Amino acid sequence: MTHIEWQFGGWLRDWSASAAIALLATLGAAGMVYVVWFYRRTPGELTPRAWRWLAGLRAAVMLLLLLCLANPERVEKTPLPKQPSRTLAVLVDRSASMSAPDYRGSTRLAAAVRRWRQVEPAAKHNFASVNYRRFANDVRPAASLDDAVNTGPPGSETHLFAALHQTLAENPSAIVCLTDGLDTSTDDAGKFTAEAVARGVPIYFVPGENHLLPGTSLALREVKAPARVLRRTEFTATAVIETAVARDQELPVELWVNGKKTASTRLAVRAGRNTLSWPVTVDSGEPDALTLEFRVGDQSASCVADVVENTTMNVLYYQGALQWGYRFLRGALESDPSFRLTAILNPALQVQLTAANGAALTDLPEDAAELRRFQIVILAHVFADQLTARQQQTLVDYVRGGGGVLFISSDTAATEGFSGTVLEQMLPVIFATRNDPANVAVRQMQFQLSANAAEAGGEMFEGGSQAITLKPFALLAGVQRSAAGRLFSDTNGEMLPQFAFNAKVRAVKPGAEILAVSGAGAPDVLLARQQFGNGFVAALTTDLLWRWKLALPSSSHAVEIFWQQLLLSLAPATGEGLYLVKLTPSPAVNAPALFVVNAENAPALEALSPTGMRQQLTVVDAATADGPAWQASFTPTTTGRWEVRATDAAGRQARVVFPVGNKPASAELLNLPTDVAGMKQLAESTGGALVQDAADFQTPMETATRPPTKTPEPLWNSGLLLVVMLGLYATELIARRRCKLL
Amino acid sequence: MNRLPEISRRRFLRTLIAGAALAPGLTVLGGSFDSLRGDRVGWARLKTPSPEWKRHAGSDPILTRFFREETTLNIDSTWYVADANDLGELRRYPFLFSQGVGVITGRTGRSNIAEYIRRGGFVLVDACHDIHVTPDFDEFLRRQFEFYSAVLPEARVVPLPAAHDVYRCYFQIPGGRPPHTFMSNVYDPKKAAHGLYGVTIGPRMAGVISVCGWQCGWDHVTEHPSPAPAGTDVACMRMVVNIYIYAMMQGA
Repeated sequence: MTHIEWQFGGWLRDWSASAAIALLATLGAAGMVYVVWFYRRTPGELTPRAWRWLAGLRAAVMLLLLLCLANPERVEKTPLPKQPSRTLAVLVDRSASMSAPDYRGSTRLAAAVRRWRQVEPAAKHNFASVNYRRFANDVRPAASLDDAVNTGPPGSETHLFAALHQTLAENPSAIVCLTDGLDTSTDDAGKFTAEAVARGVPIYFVPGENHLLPGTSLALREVKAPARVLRRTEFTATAVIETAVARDQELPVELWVNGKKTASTRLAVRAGRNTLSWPVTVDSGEPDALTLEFRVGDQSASCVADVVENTTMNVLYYQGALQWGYRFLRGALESDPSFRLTAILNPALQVQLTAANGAALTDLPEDAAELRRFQIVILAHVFADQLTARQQQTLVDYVRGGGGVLFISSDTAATEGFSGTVLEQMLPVIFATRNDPANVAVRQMQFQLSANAAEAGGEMFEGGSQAITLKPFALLAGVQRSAAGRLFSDTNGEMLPQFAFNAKVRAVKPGAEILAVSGAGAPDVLLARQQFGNGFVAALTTDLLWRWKLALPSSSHAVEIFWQQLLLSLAPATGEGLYLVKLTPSPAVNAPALFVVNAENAPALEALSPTGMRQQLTVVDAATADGPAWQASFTPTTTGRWEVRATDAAGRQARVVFPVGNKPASAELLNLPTDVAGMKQLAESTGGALVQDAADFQTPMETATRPPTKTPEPLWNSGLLLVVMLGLYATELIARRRCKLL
Repeated sequence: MNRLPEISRRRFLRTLIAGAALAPGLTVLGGSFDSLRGDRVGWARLKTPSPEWKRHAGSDPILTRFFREETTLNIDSTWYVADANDLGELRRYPFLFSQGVGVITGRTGRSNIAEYIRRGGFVLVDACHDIHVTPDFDEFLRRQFEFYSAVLPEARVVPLPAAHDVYRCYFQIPGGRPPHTFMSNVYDPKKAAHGLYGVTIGPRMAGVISVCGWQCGWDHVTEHPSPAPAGTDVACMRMVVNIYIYAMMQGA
């Protein structure tokens, strides 16, 4: 149940209630005395009634002002949900992997039970009731620990997270799970962990371990790449690999583009089951068809991305302060019809222009879905307090989902405001904070220069001459290595952008690419870029380069080329390429192997045997809410390396190459080692622990005494109070006028 | 009993507005336009062979102050000079104010203006209403049109309709008609009939030509010999702000 309290805000919050009230009462009384004194010495003749009214109005305004200064806050206290009873739920993993004996005949189930029996008396003492369940493919109740351990045969799969999720729904005080920690379903561990943490129910794992000779598995599950990418840009191709190993090791992976190895690495694999994602940034190069082939072990999978000359680029331009940069940036983009610009100009100033195409936006959306129709969002000279936390989060989500953001500001005072904000998290640079001594010095210098310009009184009548020096961008060695670096690859002196002002940054984030700096010595970073999620973000810490445009001959296209290339380097790849997923982890002879393709229309699938025999596969529609999908299966007739190819209506091709063994290897029977690290991490994130002896099991008493959550909400800064204060003040002024006091 | 001196209604209203302005200050402490300004820019007059090129320039700081009070534009209070014969000076300013470009007859000045506009610059021409400076407004306009057709053959000069964005992009200009000032406050229907003329190159506007005499308005010369209609100065400055902002929002 929610409980409402009141407290003072600001500096009064740290005072005791009595002291704060005493101070406010004193100030209020002093104000009253002042009002009475003020109107008593008023020179005009006032009737007692007018005197009372005027004094009352003045007093009311003053008391309301005092109220504002006191900053009362409404505090909503929400206690955590109480446990209905102190119940302990004990889950026993009855999957096949728990019952497989090692060379000594010992099973993981027996080991876990042995450990739990040491702890069980203490658990029974501390909890009102202990409920037992067994689980494998599903969850079933059990009368006792013996019942849970001995009833029924071992299950063929382990649905660990589903079992925990189902038990959590019953809201026990704590959960104990006897398991080897191997979930062989496709459930999302991260999703479950978030739910467990939110519910605040501690989970204790009792690990079952034995000395089985461990097995291994490897499957290149799928590869993903965009269907179309712009020339001379970068895009991301991703491989998803499933593997299970006995001990921590490294897995070598490679990417081959058009038959040439372009990237390789060694992925860290920890003992147990792993699902690994390897995203690789690929330079698109010139228009062509790129065949992207990932190779892992004896497996490979490939898809094709088309590199195109141009495509429509929808750009959203958001401007925080009036400036000339927009005119020249717009001109640069309009010279190429593939750019379509939508502008939000100074929403606070409400500049209104007829929208050239489509409905105009009045402010930045608070929903990333609304931003999806734009490939790039430009934030030009924006101030932190202009963007709500939700708008900033929306921009972050937009980039994470594949959008591009270009942040431009030449004003250190403005960029300081973004220090520590949600938006800054995705930017390639870290801005200085307001108290950074170096920036204070810069600001003082800028202020002095500004004051000098304003005080040039002699120029009032004679006119001045504004001399602003343009400084060229400078490049760091090796910047040409990336596609973004090609912004300047063909440059000579004229083609390098020139700027007048720039903002200071404190640091460049690890992994970010510095594309331009301010010059020699200890240069400032002017342009930096980084990948964030599936998108790209760049920070340009200069003005919008309009002075450079005015300084160049009208025949020069350097400005247009720079802006267009910069935006293209941030543009997301378009569409989703054709990809083929092997759903059967370890295909075997005479066992059906299942595949799925993501094409819009029915693709053509064929299987190639190790001897080169072709077999056309029949596809069936398997579309889901996530999009179109087609399934096909075939039964391998011999061992060796098989290949399955999918070709869509546009002629794009994806393929997977995989080994076929003599017998199917399910994860349950691979003798994968107990996932002790995974269980420990999950347990500790919920407030529980890994139980290896009796001392590890502590009853979660602290949850009962955890303080309630508090949500303070200021009350005075409302429009209504403002209107009331203004109304009272205006009424007093009018009344004073009528009484000839003004 | 001593009475406080009588004050005008205008002063009373100002006091009232000032009081009203105090209260919002409680909620937007430090939130004035000064914290929301873009990069700095200067207000410049085009220096031409005409001896009147800087007429009323001494009052331009009144206009730049108006800009700073009413917008987030980071504009200097100083007014600057941009000589038509010096392209290096012209290019420092994206927007130039001129008493008229028709008087530029030298080859350098004419080609500089053309090059400046082709690079993306914007020129606002506004005639002084003094008949000693602008004896014939129709003739004045004709000379501006001729200038542009000669130096910028790709440009077209077109009258701006009342529904044009320039009349409503920031301030609402009543009726889509630009405010005029008149010599000695004597209404001149022939002058008042002129609206604004836009200098366009393709879809973009590169300049505006007017005979409205706005500079005379913010210089308050219209107060003599008799007071101008109340708000003339503000109306003139609002029109210039609109043109300025409109120019900023067009592609160069």
